[in-house]
Amino acid sequence: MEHLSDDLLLESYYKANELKLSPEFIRLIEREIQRRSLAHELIYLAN
Amino acid sequence: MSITTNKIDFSQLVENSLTGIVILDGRELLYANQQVYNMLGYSPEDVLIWDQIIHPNYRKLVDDRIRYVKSEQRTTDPIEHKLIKNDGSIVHVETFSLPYIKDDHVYVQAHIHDITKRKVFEKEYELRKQQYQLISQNTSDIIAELNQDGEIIYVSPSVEEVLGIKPSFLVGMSCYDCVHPEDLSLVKQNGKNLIKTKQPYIIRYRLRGNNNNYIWVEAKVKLIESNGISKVVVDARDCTEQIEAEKLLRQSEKLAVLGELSAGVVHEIKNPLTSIKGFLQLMQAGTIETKDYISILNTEIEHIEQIASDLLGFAKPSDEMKKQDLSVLLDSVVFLMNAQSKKHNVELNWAAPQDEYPVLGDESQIKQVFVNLIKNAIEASEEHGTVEIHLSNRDDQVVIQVQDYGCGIPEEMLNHIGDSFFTTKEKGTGLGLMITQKIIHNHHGKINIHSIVNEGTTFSVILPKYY
Repeated sequence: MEHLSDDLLLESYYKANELKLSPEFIRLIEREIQRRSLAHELIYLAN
Repeated sequence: MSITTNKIDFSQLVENSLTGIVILDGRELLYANQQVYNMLGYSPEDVLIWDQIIHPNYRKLVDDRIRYVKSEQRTTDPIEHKLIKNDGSIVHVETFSLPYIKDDHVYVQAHIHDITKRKVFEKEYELRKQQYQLISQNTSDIIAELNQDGEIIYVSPSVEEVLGIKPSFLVGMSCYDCVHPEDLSLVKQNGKNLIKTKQPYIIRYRLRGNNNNYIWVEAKVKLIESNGISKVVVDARDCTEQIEAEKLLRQSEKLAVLGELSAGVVHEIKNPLTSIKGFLQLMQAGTIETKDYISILNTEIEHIEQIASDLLGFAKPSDEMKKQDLSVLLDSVVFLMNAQSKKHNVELNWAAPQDEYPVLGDESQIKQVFVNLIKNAIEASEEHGTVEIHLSNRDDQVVIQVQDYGCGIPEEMLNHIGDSFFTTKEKGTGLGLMITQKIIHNHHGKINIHSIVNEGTTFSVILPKYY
């Protein structure tokens, strides 16, 4: 996961949420986003 | 000679002889010299009666011989018999008799030696011989005496039972001739040290039996001085079973550690699996560009692979001494232990060095040592603590240090470290450090512990460098 570019990481996060993939997977991406301090880039989805 | 005989008083010679001499006419004692009186504890004025001084069990034998000398006029072979002293005690003697002819009358002269002391020695010797046989025939220890060059001077009969080689075949050979080639340099090195330091030691090596099979022995070796000559005494014992038992113990301790590590390891595998599964689902949905993610999947799979192979490398029993690079071994152990350290929120500080740190050893056993030391350090650390792992070369040794900044070990407990079943941990078995020490010892290394309460502990493992 560390080797993914910032853009792809964020994109994966949106898509994973859209497809309702497993919460563990979403949590892993979240953790990586936090590690890279990208949280401010996230546009929180309504749901 | 006959010219001078007139001038010599033979009676004085006979009287002062240290052999008891008697002259008999039949069973009548005509003469007994001073030595006979001394031997039997009579004073010179006492009258000796032949029948009284001959032990009753030997009267007939002695009578027969007197008659034989008289009738045949020949000398008898010496016989051993007993005489009775004035105080009733018994003297062992050896006697031979010969005729003494004067004026056509045949007398008998008997020469009597006191052999009581010899009898005592013989008895003592017989007893010692039996004791020696008891020990040498019933022990399975090989006891050997060597000179300073390692030549075998003596080896106990038990060698035949253990190695199937007759002791007489080995005497005169060099003790090094029977040692396994791989153990030879070690055995020789220790032998040299013994002559220098005179310190006894215990060593394990393989001895060759008569079928060219090798047998593991544990030998106590020490230097003894006798009559100003230094000799080496070796007491070697078959330790095959002990080695097997130690191997089993090592293996079960390792499995116990594996059990403890497994939760962390599974966690380490689960994360990459979740990630792989997630990305695969994203790919399936066609929502992302597949090629962008291939390298991610690869990295995650490699991570799993690495953990699996490290775990296997640690778990599988091996029994092979070969050249190992400690830097590579430590790298793999640290990787494995990362899972454990994450669980405890402890950071492992390890920078794999570029140099080589070669030692001779068994991969799985050395890993077991490092797993134990690093695991202990993690458990001794507080949350967010650090464990430093350091590798360095020192002359012809390699030094590995595992340092924590945890609670430390009180001085009074330091001496018990490595005793079996001694533990300060709630769930500890007390076997980890015992086995660690045993493994280090088998690898001819040392382990030092430096600890200050509330400041931390440093374990230093020192192993001989392998060239």
